[in-house]
Amino acid sequence: MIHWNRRNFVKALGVGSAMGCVPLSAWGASDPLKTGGKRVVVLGGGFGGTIAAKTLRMADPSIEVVLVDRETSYVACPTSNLVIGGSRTIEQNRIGYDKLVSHHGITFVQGRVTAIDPAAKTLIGAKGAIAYDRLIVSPGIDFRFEEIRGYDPATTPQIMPHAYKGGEQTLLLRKQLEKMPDGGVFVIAIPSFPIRCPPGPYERICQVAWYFKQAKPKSKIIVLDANPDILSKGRLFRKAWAKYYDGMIDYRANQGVVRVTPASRTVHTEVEDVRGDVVNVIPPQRAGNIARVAGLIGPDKSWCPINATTFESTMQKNIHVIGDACVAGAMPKSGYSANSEAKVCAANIVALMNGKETTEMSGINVCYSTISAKEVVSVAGVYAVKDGKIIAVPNSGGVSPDLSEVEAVYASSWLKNILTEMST
Amino acid sequence: MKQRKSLGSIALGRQSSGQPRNPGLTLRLAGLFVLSLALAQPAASAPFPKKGKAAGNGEMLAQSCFACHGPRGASVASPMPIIGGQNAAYLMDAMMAFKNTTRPATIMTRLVDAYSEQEIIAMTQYIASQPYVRAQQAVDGAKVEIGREVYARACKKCHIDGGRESSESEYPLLAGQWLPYMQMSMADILAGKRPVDDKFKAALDKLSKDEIDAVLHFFAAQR
Repeated sequence: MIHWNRRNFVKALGVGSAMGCVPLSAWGASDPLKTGGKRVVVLGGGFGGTIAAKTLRMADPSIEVVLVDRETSYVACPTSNLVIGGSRTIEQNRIGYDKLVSHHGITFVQGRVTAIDPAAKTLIGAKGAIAYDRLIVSPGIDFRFEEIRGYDPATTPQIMPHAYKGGEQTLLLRKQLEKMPDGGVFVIAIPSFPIRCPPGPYERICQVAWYFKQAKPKSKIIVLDANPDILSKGRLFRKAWAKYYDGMIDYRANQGVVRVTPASRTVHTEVEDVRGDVVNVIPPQRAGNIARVAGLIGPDKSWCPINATTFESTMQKNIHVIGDACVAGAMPKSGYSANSEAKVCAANIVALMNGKETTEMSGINVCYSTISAKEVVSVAGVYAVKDGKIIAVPNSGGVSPDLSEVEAVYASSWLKNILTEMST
Repeated sequence: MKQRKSLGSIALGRQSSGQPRNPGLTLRLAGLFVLSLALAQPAASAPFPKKGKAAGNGEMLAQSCFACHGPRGASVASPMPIIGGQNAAYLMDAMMAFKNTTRPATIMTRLVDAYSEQEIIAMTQYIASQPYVRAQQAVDGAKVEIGREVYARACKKCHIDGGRESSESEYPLLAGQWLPYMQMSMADILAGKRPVDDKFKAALDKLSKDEIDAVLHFFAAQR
């Protein structure tokens, strides 16, 4: 191992190092590779970030790739509703980064990034600064807590979990459901579109109902949906609710939560107050906080606009945004979309760094929702660019014709394959 | 013998003898050759990067497939089939069958309509160029032994070397393919939900269901 003093560190970093960056070893990473001044830093090790880092290295080994995440492992959201329903453990959704970084020669650094300086092309964190030539930001979502009166971001999620990021919150909601007596009321508040995983809240309703049916059959579910209708696979969810959970689910459209009273587990809409024994408030969403700090948020005040071919931010040069945080036109905010976007973004960064032509994006989304112990429904689509915008390719894609046991089998192999692609 | 051409065969202009006597196939092969030459050309250096269409870029089109089908198409999760390194003409045939709805599927029949025939050629060429990684999976040893004999009797002329090679690029590689996937596919074929070519049908007609199941275990056991 090379010992990095300030001088050879500065030499390796090139231009950006003049801004007072520290060696990556200060972030607990092994020494950076010597790759001739092409460094891409990837911020966020989820569905987008892992694949972007890997694709860059596979396509052009002369690019140095640094993957930065707050954690040393990642808990995937898809199928985390099954943890809430009790048929899966959260650890089944966890991936580590060890194999990924060693197989592909990626430098992994763990730490919290607090700011991005686009002019100086540096990330700034508690442990120092990291220079980049190009930066890929894949931060997922955060919440617009401020739009709900009475919601304290520090304490309310402990009482009314959102369970919309995989991990602690998922387990907290599960624990509350386990403690709830039979005959209790579960309230779920769904925020207005766009949100991460549009079918997610409705799959969750199925999973909680499935659990109630077995363990607490006298219990009820009240759904307060800020949207005018079910956001995705509506016909199929309605069919599943009628077939398996008839009489248990009370669905109320156009009922956005405007205020909460955590002490009494009450949510308030513009027309009514609803008290529950377990209350799952999913607040309205926006791009992960770092996107705001870095000035990547667009005129909609929530999400990051991008170039549809390169995923480069239209707000800041040399910064690319992928996954839930970006405005990817017709592509839904899903793990699969993030995977596709990462590959398009990485391929075009390689082209840009080598002075080659970029290639128009082509992407796919497939999303499975588990509606009973055995059945799954899916939505699938293919995406392309038209007039600078990402559109769904006409006359293709769509939802399952019916509830399907075969799709349940393929859903589990999809998850295993995509998590393997991210972690190897 | 009553002749029945599969729609897949028609799409590719394939003769049951497997010989490229049909001008359609010859043209198709010539087209693939030209395309692969075009892909092999180094990109012309341009002072300013321009934007290329995704249509001619098999890699751009195919990369998104691997989120389901595993890293570079080497599915590690049964029953999602391994597609990386599979024969290009077989992949093309499969995609056209999904497009013509002559082969049942859950997701593929919905996705395939988004792609033109040219795009399907480009993406299947890219997928076929990836390494084929045989699955490590549990099989029934007794069935493998029965299957070995069935294979030698009925399958080896087309599925050469235990299914590691094929006599024609339209026939799939089967060695180390996921067993449940092969069983599901075979169930569709035997139920008449998925037309197959005459040669394959004639071979299947001579075998019992147990023999067919045994030979699938044999293929799955090939490492």
